[in-house]
Amino acid sequence: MQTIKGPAIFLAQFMGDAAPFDNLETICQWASSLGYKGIQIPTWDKRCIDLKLASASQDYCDELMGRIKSHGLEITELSTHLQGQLVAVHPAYDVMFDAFAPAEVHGKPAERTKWAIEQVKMAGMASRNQVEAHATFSGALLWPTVYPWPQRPSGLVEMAFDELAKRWLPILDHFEACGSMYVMKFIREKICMTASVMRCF
Amino acid sequence: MHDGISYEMFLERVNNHQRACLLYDPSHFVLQQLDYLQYIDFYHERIKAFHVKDAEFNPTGKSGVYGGYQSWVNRAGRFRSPGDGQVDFGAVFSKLAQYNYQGWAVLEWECCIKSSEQGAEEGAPFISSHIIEVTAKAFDDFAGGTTDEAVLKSMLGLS
Repeated sequence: MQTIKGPAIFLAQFMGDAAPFDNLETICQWASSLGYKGIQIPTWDKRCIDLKLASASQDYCDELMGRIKSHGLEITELSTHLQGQLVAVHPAYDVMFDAFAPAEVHGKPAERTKWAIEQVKMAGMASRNQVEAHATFSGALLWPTVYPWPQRPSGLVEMAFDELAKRWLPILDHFEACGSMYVMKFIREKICMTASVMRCF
Repeated sequence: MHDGISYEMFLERVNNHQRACLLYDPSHFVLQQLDYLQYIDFYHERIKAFHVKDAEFNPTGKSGVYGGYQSWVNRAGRFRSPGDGQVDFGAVFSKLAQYNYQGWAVLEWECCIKSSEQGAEEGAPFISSHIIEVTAKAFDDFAGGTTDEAVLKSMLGLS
């Protein structure tokens, strides 16, 4: 058996406009002062991380990790909860979920999906040699039919799950590749999908 | 995906991909009345991340799981700060330790009543007090004798 690591804190709900919640430096100080040893980072918040840069630059990752470590903290996981959600969206939720995406893909569901997949893949690269797990949502195509009335046409559920798997397989393989590329270090990113019903839409 | 069954439907279609794992968050189980402890028995090998978030479910003659289009605070199922809801975190941390969970316990604060600041202040000691420093010995070692194969054989009537 192994002792569980913690306590850690997910920063998504704490980032805000007022100090100390308005930048990574001061929120790290605050979290550390409360006794936290790890932070889970929302990758959609540029105040926490430049995801694109982190996916491309080892120097940037080293510098970011160093800053976090200087406060006695570690990154527990990067999170792409908002982007992962957009990998699969039923049209009924298009308008509401546009809020999770940049303005340039609003009203363009296909482009939004492409953007979301790219974002999650970048998080895989960014995690490659520093964090073991990755947190995200899967998105879904079936929420409007979660209740079994009206009767679902035969084959609808299977088709939706087939499509969801089709979209995620290349992402999962990408995470596998990111891991194996650096397997000599200490890398084992795993995509963790939250078992949440209210937010998997 | 919203429960074990729908996760399995997905997993089958991605050929049981080893990267498709689970972030365990018991609060969501309370809202849909899933067994959050047996879920760990079923899926512990796939649980690689953990959100410490609490919830409560208080159904009435007016509202239940669907929530009646009410605000979070007025729903039967609602998210709470750790310790303020109904999740048995003693049992959750015990099961995760028993199954050798090697990841982090991460506070996710989403409470419909308490402030985020108080939730964060209380969250660190709450998690610390629930983390189980796993034992390296059996609790009855103190009363154990030394092992002598001859004695074992004689106890079992073997020659």
